[in-house]
Parts: sequence; C-alpha cells; structure tokens
Amino acid sequence: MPHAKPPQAAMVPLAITEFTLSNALGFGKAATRDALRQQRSGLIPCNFLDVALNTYIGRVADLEQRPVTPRLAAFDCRNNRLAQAALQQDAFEAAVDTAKLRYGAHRVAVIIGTSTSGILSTELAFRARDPETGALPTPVHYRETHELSSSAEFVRQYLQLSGPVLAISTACSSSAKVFASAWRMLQADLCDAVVAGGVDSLCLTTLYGFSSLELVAAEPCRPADQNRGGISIGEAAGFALLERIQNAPDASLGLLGYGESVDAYHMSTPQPEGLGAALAMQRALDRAGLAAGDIDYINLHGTASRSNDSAEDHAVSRLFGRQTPCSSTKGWTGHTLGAAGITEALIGLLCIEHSLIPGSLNTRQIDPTFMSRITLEPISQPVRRVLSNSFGFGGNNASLIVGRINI
Amino acid sequence: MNVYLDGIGVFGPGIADWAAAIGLLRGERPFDCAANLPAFNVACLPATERRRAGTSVQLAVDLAAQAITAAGIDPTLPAAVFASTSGDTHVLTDICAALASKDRLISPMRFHNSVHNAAAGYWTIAQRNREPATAVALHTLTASAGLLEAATQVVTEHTPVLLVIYDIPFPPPLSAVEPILTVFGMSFLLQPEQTARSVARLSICLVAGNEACAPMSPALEALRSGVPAALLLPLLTALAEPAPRVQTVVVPYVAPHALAVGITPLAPGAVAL
Repeated sequence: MPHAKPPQAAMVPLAITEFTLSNALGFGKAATRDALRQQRSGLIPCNFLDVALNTYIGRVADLEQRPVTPRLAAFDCRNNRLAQAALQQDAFEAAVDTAKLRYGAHRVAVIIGTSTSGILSTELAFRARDPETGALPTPVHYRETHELSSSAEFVRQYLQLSGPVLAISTACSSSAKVFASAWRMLQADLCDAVVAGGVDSLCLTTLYGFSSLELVAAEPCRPADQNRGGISIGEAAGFALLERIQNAPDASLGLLGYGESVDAYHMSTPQPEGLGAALAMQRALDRAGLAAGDIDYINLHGTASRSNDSAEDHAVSRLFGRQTPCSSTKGWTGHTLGAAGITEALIGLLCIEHSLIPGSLNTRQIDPTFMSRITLEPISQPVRRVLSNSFGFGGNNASLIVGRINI
Repeated sequence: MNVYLDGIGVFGPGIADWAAAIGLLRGERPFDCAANLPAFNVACLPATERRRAGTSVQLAVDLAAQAITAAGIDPTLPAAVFASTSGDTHVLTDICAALASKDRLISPMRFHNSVHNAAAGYWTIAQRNREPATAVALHTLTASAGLLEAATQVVTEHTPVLLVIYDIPFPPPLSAVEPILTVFGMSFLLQPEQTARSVARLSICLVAGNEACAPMSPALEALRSGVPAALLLPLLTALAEPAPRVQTVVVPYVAPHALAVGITPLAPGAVAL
C-alpha cells in the first residue's frame, strides 16, 4: 500500500530580500505602485508590430531601444530585453551581488517561469524564410532566444551566477510555481539563495492564439464584470531574491506559503466549480499554517474571461466567504501570462508596503452571480498577508501567500 | 537526496518499454536509430483527447503509463514532472508557419496544445490526478534538471513523483537549427520510502566537476548526444546491468556542477508491507 503522507507542518517563511517588476505601468517598483495609487491603467489599443486585432494590450515601452548587453548579444530578443530592463531596476543587481559575495556564485540558483519565451524571434524568422528552400535566415539563435530556458540562461549569465538553473513553463501559472521550486531547492540545500523570476513578452502566438479561442476583449479587460468580454494580453518581468530567514534577520517581507494543484478537467477551460483552484488555495493556507481569516487581500487570477472569473469566484467564496477583499490587477497590467504569477505576488508585496488594497480597475458592474467580496474602489488599510492566484492552461494552478515576516 | 526507484519506462526506435531496452543497454542486441518506432500505448487517454494529442503528448503519456504500471501505484497519487527541451515541436512549427501566412489563423486546439505543460494536462485529465504537475526545460541539460526537480520534490514534499523526460525532433526548417536525432524518452516513478516494488535506492547530489560518462557503444553514444532526453542513458545502462551492484553514475548538469546518482540495488519484495 502507498505510504500515507505525514501531516504537513507549516513551512518556515522564506525571506524576500529584494524584488523588482516591470510591465506596462513602467520600469521598477515605483512605476507600478504609483499607477496602482492613481488608478492609471497601462492598457492601450493594440499597436504591436502589424497585428490587426481589435484589442488592448499591456505593452512595455521602449524595449526596441534597449538591446541586451553586447557580451550576451546572441540572447538579444524581446523577452530577454524585458528581463534585462527589469533586472536593472530597484538595486536588484546589487542585492544579487551581495548574495553572491556571501554565499558564492555557485550557491545562487536561477529559476525562471515563462510561457512562450522569445518565440517572437522565431515567428519573425519564419516570415523571412527562403522562398525557394524554406530555410530560415541566418543566424537563428534558437537556444539563446526561444528555447524555454533561454531567459533562465540569459539571467544566469547576465548576473554571472553558477548555481542550479531551471525554467518552468506551465502556461499562466509558470512564474508562481518558481516560488515553490525555489523553496524546495533551498530546503534540499542545493543552494543558499534563489533568483526567482518570470518573463513573458508580446508575441503573435498568444495574441492570435487567444483570439482563436475568442478569449480576447475588444476593450480594456473588465475582471469580474457582468459584461466582461475576455482578456487583455500584457507583457512583464519580475524578479525576487529569496533567502533563508535565518540568513536575513532584517528582512520584513517573505513567502509564507504556496499551493499547487491541477484541475484534471480540460486543457483550456477551468473546472466550473473551481475545485482545482480551491485545492491550490487550501494547500497554500495549510503550508503557511494560516486560516482564511488571516488573509487580508486576495489578488485574483481574474483574467476577465467568463469561465476563469466564474470558476475562481466559486473557489474563493467557498474558502473565504464574503469576508476577504479581492480584486484583479489585470486591468492595470493586462494578463502577463507566464509572468503573471510573480508580477501579482510582487504587487501583493507593494500592497503590504504601502497599505493599499487595489480595486478591480475597469470593472463597472460586478457579475451578480458572484459570491466573493470583489472590491471596485481602492481601500487604504494595513495589509499583512496577501494570497495571489495563478491558473493556466492544462488546468495548472498555483497560489502564493506573501506577507510580513519577523513581526 | 535519497529516493526509491519503483518503475522505469523507455520509448524510442525499436524500444517499446524497459524490458526491450535492457537487451540494448547490455549490448546483447545492437541499437538501431533507424528502427521503426513502436506504436504509442495511449489507451488511458479518453477518445477525444487521444484524437487531439500530438506525437509529443502521446510519447509522454506512453512513458508516464509505463512507469506507473511498473511501479504498481495508483495513478492519482504521484505529483508529476514533465521535462522536455521544446515540447511539441510539430505544433510549434505549425503555429510559426501559420503566423507567417497571410491570414495568420491558428486553430484553438493547436494553440492550447502549444503550451509546454500540454502533456501534463492530458495525463492528469486522463488519470483524474489533481496533484501538482510541472513542466520544465533546460535545453541539453533538461533531463538532469528534471531529475533534480523530481528528486527535490520527493524529498521535500514527501510525495511520490512521476518524472517523464521526452523529446521529438523538429521538422524543417528548425531541424537545421536545433537538430534532435529521434523520438526518445524515459520515465521514472520515484518514492520517498522503499516499497515492495523498489528496484533501487538513488542517492542524488550535486558534485563539482565535469566527469566524462563511461563510454557506450557508438550507436547509443549517438543517441545520448543526439537527443536531450537521452542524457541519462548512462543511468539506464547501470540499472540494466545483469548483476546489479552499488555504483555511482555522474551525468552533466550546469557547470561547474555535475549530477551524481548513487545506485543501491534493492530486491523487489524485500520490504514487507
């Protein structure tokens, strides 16, 4: 017979000693924080390349003018440009340097989540195929730009690290799951610090792919709205430096818990009652040793697709009733897909640092069938712990709890 | 990290399962990369999913079922790690070609099949398994990265983990840029404690250095170096030895590290349950 799992003890939180994020709201923490406060959306009518779709996008400005550092020229692509631009904000590189000095470069791991990596480079190369032979133009740096670990390898080389490396690609839960793998790697003593990240950039595959599923909205996305018409696709990068709490006595923020599950239901439609989503949230609470009432704010996956928002509402209301304020911040950033998990966990940290619960931007009339406490207006109040949801194709779910530590 | 190996699956040219692989790995029969691929056994997929699943998903599902069956474990119990460098290279090529065409239309099914966790999705749907499932990549080191992630999950989460390592070649034009020799994969069911099915204890750790693997036959060496999913062939070769013995196999990982896998053979049935 299989061995029964022992009852799970609450995990010791991991310290998040530095973090940074860049997205349609701008580069670095201050840009996202200010936009959240000012209720300023980053979504604009689609002006990406020659894409002729009637939709809004969350586009990061000026990536075209920010090539990757010459020493890593082969890695130059939109995805790695976005990764590099994000790494350069908020003294993140300095924090990594400190960890490197303290632990050794070989003891700092890199774990990056991405959905489509730098597929745009390959998409554009296909347009330039030789009409006679079908061959791609040379050079094509597939490994450096498009293979799923291209950004993980880019980040590792850019930061000059030599610890364990992993790329996780589970669609829209990718960069939430990096936190779970980071906790495990530290727990197994494979490293002493982890650069956990998520990077996903605009490409034709996701714009036309989500359009083919009729999941893309013609207007800026309206999460949880009774007339929500689908998602707005965005791009983003986020990074967090994770260390053991005993090595970071001054850290005030950390990862308190994580929960992973799958729906085992359908490739592109969530289980309607949100059973898999609820399982991920419950596992995150259990691992953090917290009850539902300990969570001050839930950052929803909240894509504004009809089926996601409805299933998530079922799951959230089953666990949290009408008590806990929740909102989606995708009205600001768009759905940043493989980067959404870390982007929204880090938004949760900004909410804690600045005592802010954002309302659900663009949402006008909450779906009358919804039972959870969706907030439309921002609330200023102390926030200690935030639960952030990320759910992806393949029914892949991850929930994170971030919060204050050492209190 | 100590984990227990309860089930092995292998698939490739002329290799339908672990039993078929043993003779090749022992050198009793020559490996022929041009041999026909066996038919995939994807009976566990519901009929609709079977129609929608491409080569890459069918390969992964076949391998997953092999390891589960060999381990005699309830398929709803293990967490899963699916490791492949580029996943479904056919879907990826079709999408890039469609997006370069005038109408840019891609089919919804092709789009949802393009996610790297497609195999994990099909497998967990087929088995109604709600345990965590991940999909990872690390180019030529994907297999050792997958083994490390799987072993780490076993040890830190105290859970059985199904590890599936699989690759299929790219069609043109990407085949010229990213050559993958053939369809190939292997799978392992790893347990946190010894069970009646355990065939070996694996002690996995990072070591310094870049030790060369023991030489294999030229045909197997071509497979090992030609398909990222075959990187752990030396581990399979050690496990296939006719007289099991304690030994350590070192496989490449991110420099300056390598992955050492200590093998302690166990007699199945040795544990009374």
